[in-house]
Parts: sequence; C-alpha cells; structure tokens
Amino acid sequence: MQNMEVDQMQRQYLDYIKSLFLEGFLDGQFLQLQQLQDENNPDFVVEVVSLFFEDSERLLNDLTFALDQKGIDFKKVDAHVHQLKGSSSSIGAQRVKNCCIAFRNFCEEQNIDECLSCLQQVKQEYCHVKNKLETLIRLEQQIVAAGGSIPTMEFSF
Amino acid sequence: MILIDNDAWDKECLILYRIRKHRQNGIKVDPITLPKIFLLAAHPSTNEHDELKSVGIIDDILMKPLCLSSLVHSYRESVGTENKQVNRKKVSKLGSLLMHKQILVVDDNAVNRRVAKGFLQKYGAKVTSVESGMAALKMLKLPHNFDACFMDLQMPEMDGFEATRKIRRLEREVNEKIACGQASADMFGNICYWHIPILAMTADATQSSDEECRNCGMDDFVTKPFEEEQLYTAMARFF
Repeated sequence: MQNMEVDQMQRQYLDYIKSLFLEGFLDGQFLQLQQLQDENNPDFVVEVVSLFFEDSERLLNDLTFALDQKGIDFKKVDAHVHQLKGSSSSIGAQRVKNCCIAFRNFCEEQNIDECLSCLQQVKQEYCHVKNKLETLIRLEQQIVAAGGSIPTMEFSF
Repeated sequence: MILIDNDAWDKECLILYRIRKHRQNGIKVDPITLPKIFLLAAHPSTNEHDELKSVGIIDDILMKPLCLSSLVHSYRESVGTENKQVNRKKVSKLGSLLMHKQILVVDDNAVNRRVAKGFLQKYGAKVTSVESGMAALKMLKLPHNFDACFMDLQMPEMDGFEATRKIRRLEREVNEKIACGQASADMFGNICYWHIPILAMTADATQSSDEECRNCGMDDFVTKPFEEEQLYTAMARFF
C-alpha cells in the first residue's frame, strides 16, 4: 500500500531522472532499456549498467596505457574509443558517447595533445554518469524496498 | 507538436506529407524528439483519417473543440508513455515476426550483446550471443537451427565481413554437395538450400557502404542500438 513516504520517493526519483535527461547525461536509449525490463528480465537495467561500468573502466585503463607509450599506436587507441562509443551509445550515456566522437576525430589526426585532453574529458564524463546512474538505481531500490513501484517518466503539462 | 485544422490539411497536406516521409526515410532520429502531428476535426474519424494514421503520416486525430485531457492522452500515446497497454500494441507488430525465432547475435562488446539480446527477447525471439567471428562460425556449422544472424562489423581478429564470407562459403559447399547428390538433404536437417539471413549491425549508417556489406554476402544492415521500426522493415523480408 502506498504511503506518503513512497509518494515522496517516487517524486524525487522522477525529478532526478528528468534532470539527467535535461542535462544531457542520458538520452532516449536509456528509456528503451527501462522498457525492456519486465518479469522475464527483472534486473535488466542494473545488469546492463553494471556491464557498462566494468567495460568502461577496462577501456579507460587500456586507453591510459596506450596513450602513455613512447610510440603511440593510434589504431589501437581508436579501437578502444570505438568500443567505448558503442557501449555508451547502447545504454544512452550521451555525454560519454559525444566525447568519444570527438576523441575519434583526434585519433584520426594523430594529435597526441588533443587525444590526451579527450581522455581526461571522457574520464570525467564517465565519472559523472557513473555517479548519476548509481544514485538513480539506489533511488529505485529504495522505492521497491518500501513496497512502491518505479514510476515511468512522463511529460507533464 | 504540430496541430493542424482539418480544413487547412487539404491545402497543407503535401508539405506535411513531405515532413513525415523525410523523418521516416532520413537519418536515425530519437523518436522521443520527433514532433507529433495531430489533425483537428469537427467530425469523427473518416476512412481517410484512419488511413493517414495507420500509414504514420499523422499521429492522431483530435476532436474540435480541443480539450486538454484528450490532447494530453493522445500526446502521451504517441510518445509511448501513456501506459503499458500502448506498449503492448507496439510489441505485437515486430513480435509477430520474431516470436520463437532463433537468433544469433555476434558482437565483441559485452554491453552491446546484452542490450541486443534484451531487445530481441522482448519480441519473443530466442537469442544466443557470441563475442567473435570464430565463435559465430562454430555456431553456424551446418546443420544449425538459427533463423537469422546479427553481425557486428568491427571486431578484432575476424571482422564481420570476413565472418560472413566464411559462413557463405560453408553454405555454398553444402548446397553444392546436396545439389550434385554427394550428400542428401536429410544429413542437413532436410534443408537442401542453406542461406541464413545475415544483417550487419553498424554504429552509424555511414560506417560502411551497402555495397561492401552485400559483396561479402550480407542481406541487409541495421543501425545499433536497435530501433523497432527499422528492425521490423529489415526482418519483414525474411519472416
């Protein structure tokens, strides 16, 4: 049964997720993921987000290593960025994806300084979105633990 | 959102038709950001209106005088956030194609694999996902039970093009053996001609040319992440 607390949590959740969209951290693909979650795949979003964290952290380490070499293999760097672009696109992590797009251009130009700067940027954006997603999931879990259901994002007039 | 009066429709319909066609055929656009087109009519839906709606030129017809609740309801429906009922209606179109189909997804990226699998499963497909061209070849050794294969293009060691070429070669060899009597169809699941639909998954439409995909034996390509409409159009050719 719903109570004041659950209502409040749900409102807080909706405000939070709306802000993530407005600020460009997430795009429509994330909503798609939420829609794919159902009785057959009850933890789908958490599963995919966890995979994304694992994958990204590995790739960021690989990128740091690759750009730290005396003779940088830009093809390798580009391959890693391509991967990161793909996975961030699949979960709707828009800002990370956009960073990757810029990053790939600099890989093509073999511009070391810009690549290093892009690496910093993409690390930052990843950290941001990781925090946001962790917060979002925590809010969802709180609602469910209190017996409520996770509200779907709607457009209000 | 675009609201257009029925009387003005007849004068402006050509422009609106072009807007709609441009959206349907153009580069991938996030459906949530597409403007919705509503027709305002004084009389209930005529056949012409229903046709416009089913073809997708307009999103819905609203009665004049306009009231807030019907506008909100129709807008939410068109965006797909109204309620689960609406989503279920959308599921059935692609679901009727994919229900119970066995699909192989080949992608070296774990996140992409999981998302693709989740998407296809939603429409009732049974999905197996593998992470390399080599693994795909093992899965597609003849005879196999797969109905279709989604193939990532950029993969290390063996890319999607090479994997597809190898799969087609395998199929060709078996098909020739069966045709000339060296082997009988019942050795290969009673299928005397093997050709699994292979669809390339590309990150963007410009990533590789259509020609390149077809030359290595692919049947079509779709962009990833998957989109219901595009997937339906692509899969409808095979199922």
